[in-house]
Amino acid sequence: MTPKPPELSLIVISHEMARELPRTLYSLSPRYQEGIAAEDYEVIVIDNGSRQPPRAEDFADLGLNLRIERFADPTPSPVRAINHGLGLAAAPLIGVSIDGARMASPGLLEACRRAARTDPMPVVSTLSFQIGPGPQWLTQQQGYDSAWEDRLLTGIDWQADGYRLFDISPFAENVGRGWFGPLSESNLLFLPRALWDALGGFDPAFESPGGGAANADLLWRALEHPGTRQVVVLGEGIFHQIHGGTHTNAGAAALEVHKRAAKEYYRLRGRIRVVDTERSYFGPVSRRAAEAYARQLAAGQTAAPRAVATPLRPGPEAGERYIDLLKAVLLNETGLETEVALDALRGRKDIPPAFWSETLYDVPGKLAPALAEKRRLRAQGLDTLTAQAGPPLGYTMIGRRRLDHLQDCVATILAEAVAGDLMECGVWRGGACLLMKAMLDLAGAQDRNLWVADSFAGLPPPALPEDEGLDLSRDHAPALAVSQARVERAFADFGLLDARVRFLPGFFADTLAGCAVEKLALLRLDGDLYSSTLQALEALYDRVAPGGFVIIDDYGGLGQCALAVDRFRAARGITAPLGMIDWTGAFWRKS
Amino acid sequence: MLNETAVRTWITEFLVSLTGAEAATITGDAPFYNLGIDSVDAVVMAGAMEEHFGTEIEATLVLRNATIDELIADLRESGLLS
Repeated sequence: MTPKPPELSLIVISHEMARELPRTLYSLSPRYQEGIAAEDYEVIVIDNGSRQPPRAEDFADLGLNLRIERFADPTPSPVRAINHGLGLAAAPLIGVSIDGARMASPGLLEACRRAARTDPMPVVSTLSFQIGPGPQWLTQQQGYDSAWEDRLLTGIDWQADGYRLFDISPFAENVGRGWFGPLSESNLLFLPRALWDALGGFDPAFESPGGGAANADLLWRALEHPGTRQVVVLGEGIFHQIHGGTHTNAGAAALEVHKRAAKEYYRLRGRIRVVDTERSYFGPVSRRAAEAYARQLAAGQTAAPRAVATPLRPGPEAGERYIDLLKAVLLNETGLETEVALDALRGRKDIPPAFWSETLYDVPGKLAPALAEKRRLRAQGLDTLTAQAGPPLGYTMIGRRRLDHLQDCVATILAEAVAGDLMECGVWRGGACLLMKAMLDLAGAQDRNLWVADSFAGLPPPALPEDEGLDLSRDHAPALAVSQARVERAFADFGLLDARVRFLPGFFADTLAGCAVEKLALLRLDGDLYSSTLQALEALYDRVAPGGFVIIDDYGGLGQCALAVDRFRAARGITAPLGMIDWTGAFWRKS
Repeated sequence: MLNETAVRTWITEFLVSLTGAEAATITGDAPFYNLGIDSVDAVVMAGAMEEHFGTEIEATLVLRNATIDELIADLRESGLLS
C-alpha cells in the first residue's frame, strides 16, 4: 500500500545550527505540534553548507516525517537551496522557513493548514518574534548570547507549553507597521504549489548572505500575483533563536547589512514599495494561545475596566484602590503622554513651534503610535532596553507585571504570616520599596521593617571578570544614580516615611554582611551586576525565613546577574524552582 | 557630487512610493516620523539612495536627520552635495 501523500510540506533551511536546529525540529514534531497528525505533513531540511551537516537519524525519536538533504552547491544566499527544497516537496501546500533557527508555537502548523483553506489562492503568513529582551541585533551588543537564551528557554519549560515562548519574546519583528499593518516579510509562509510554480520560487538573483531581501521580495511578489490573498495567522508565531546569523544577529553591523539588502532589492526591482493589499486574519485557535498572546500583545494597550465602578469612599475597597492608584503613579502610567512628547524631542536640533502649541496637548492625536508603544513598554518594564528613550520618569522601571507580582508576594507574606522584614537591594528611585511600605502600613504591620539598601550614588564599576564590560557606574549611566535624600523625599511625599524605613547607604560589599537585618520575609535584588547579586545573596540569603520570597529583577535581562544566581543556587543546593515573572524577573520561595 | 534638486526630487518620489503619501505632504520640514517612516525604513532608504546615485551613503544618514532639509544640510556638510 502506498502511504498517502502529506497535506503540508515545510522546507527548513539550516546553516551551522547545531544548537538551534534540534529545538526547531522538536517544535515542528508531532510530539509538540497540536491538532495535526504525523502523517499529515513532512519537513524537509536543506542544509546549506554546514561544516557538519545535521543527520536525520539524530532526530528519529521525534516521530517526524523528516528528510534532511545536504545542498550540493551551497552559496551564502539560501535562495538556491530553498528552490531545491521546493522541488522535493510532495504536498499541495508548501511552506518555507528561510532560517532554521526559528521555533514554532504548538498550533502553528494546524493553524496554517486551516488558514490556507479560507481562500483558493492563499498566501499564508505568520508573525515572527525574537527570543530575549529585545531586538537581538541590539541586545547581543548588550551581552545577550546563547547561554542567556538557554536559561530563558529552560525557565519557561517550553516543551511543556510552547505558548510561553511569547512570554520571553516581547519583540515582534515583522509588524513594524502595526499589528494590522502590512508585514515586512513572513519568515515562515505557506503557498499552494501552483503559486510557487507561477512565481518560479525564490529569485536566485538575490545573492546577499542570508538572502538579503529575497524573503520580503517573495512575499510581495506573491501578494501582487493576480488572484492571491494574504491570510495572516494570529495566535501562533515563530521565535528566532540567536545564532550569529547574517541578518537578525548582525549586531553593530546590522544597519550596514540592512542597507546592503535594500540596495540589492532596489537594484533588482527599481523601487521599494511595501505591498499593502487587503488581508484576512485567522486565529487565534486555542485558549492557551489566546491567553499567552493576549498577555503579550495587549499588555498596556487597553485600559482594564473594573467590574463595578463606584465612587471612592472609605471601606474595604478603598485600600485596594489606593494600592492600584499608587502602582499607576509609581509606574508613571498617568504621565505617559508627557514622556512620549519629550521623547519626540530627543536628538532634535530645533523644536518646531507647533510642539508647544499643539503636540504637547494632543499626544494621543499627534503621536499615537509612540504612545501605544510606550504603554506596551511600560507594561512589560522594557523601557530600559529601547534605544530611543531613557529610563521612565516614574519611581520604578520594573514595569507592571513585576510590580503586580511584588504585590502578590507581599500579600502572601501577610496572609500566611511569613516572619520577617522586607528588603530591596538596589532601589533606584524607590518605587518597589514604596509599594511594599504602603502595603505594610495598610495592613497595620507595625512589627516589620522595610530595608532600603543602595549606594545612592550609582552602581560600582565592574571589578570582577564576570562583570567585564558591564559598566553602569555614575559616569556611564548617570540616570541610575539617585541620592538617598531624593528617595527619602519620595517616601515623605507619599506619607510613608517613618522609623521602620531603614536605609543602608553604601556599596553592598561594605554594608550588607554586617547589617542589623535579622530575618527577612522578602528579599528583592536589583543590583544588575554579578558581584552585587552574589554579595547580596551571600550576605542575606540565610536570613530569609522559610516561606520567604527571593526576587531577582535582572535574571532574564542580564546574563551576569543570572550567572551569580545560578552559581549561588548550585553551591547551596537550592532546588526550589526558579520561576520567571516576565521576560527578566525571576523568583523562588525558600522551602 | 550630488545635486540638491535631484536628491530632493528622488527622496520625495521614494517616500511617495514607500508610504503612499501625497507628494504635496512631503515638504522639506515635514518630520520623517510624521510621514510614517520608522528606523527600518530609514536604513532601507539609505540603501536605495546609494544604489540610485552610485555614491556611498552612510546607513545612519536618514536615521540621524529628522527632515529632508536636515538631511540635505547633512549631505552638504559631508561634502557630498554641490
